[in-house]
Amino acid sequence: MTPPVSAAPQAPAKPGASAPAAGGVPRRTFLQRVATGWAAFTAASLAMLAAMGRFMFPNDLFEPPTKFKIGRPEEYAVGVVDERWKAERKIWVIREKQGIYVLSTVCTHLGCTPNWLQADNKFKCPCHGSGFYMTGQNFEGPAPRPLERFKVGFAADGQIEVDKSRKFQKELGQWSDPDAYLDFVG
Amino acid sequence: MSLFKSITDSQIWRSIFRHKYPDNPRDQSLAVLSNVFLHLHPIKVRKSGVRISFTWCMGGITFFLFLIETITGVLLMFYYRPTVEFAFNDIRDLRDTVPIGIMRELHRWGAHAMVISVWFHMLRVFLTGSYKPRRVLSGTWG
Repeated sequence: MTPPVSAAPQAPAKPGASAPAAGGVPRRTFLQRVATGWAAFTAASLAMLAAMGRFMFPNDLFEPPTKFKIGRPEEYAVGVVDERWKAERKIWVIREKQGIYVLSTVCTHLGCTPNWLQADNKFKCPCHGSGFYMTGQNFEGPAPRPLERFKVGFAADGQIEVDKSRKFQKELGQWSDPDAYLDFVG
Repeated sequence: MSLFKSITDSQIWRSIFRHKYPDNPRDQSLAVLSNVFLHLHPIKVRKSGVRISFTWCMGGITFFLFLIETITGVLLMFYYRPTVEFAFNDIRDLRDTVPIGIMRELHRWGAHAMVISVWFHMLRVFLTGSYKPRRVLSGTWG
């Protein structure tokens, strides 16, 4: 493509409103109209972008509540990993002599659900072989960090209440938080 | 060099804005032909040929509606699952739970309107003889 060749030298720009051709419009008016048009277009585009952003957050998520009760501490045996809530709530409930804690069933490697192997006394993930002790501590396989614990507390009626919206990670030192462990000596 | 100058002298800028504002017909034609958007339409059109009473603007309306369909369609696809199990409930949720619950209606009415505007466009092309030789390819694309 050959570069443009000017046929005649450029006419000097006239200041102020230039003399329009027959049926034309003054330069200033034209530019004002163009500017208004672009301003309106920009405003409309931004409004549409904002609307699309709002569209991405539905008014209700049909998910189970994050806070729920799981019964009284006496219903859980000492030294046992309880799997009764594993399918429905994706948690393990472990009661020790001193108290109760709740582990997340999401493997910290890539999110699969580990299995509790009673015979080997460990959690073992079927996807890539990550291994965790009963406390949730990782000790073998590709898992980079221990299983997460959720907030446990007592509800008003004396039942244990779990809040999955608050999680505690050991590697951040959060397992020492009082909410991560429910003291109960039965 | 000022920031403005370093931007306007860059490769990217110059590949988008390739020409100044030429004042002679030959260079103006060149500027239009070498622009990815402008070159889709003819360089020059008779003034009498752009009257709305002549063109009906149906081609433009169709294109606009197509853009609406694409955008609303993509947005709807974020929530709609086309399976026997989920389809019905997803449509109800699109109306009741998702913000701008009118998106499905926009998509639907846009589709109907687009079919109608395409029909009117074809009718107008026929009535104005805009399909005749030298413009046969335009008609074929349409």
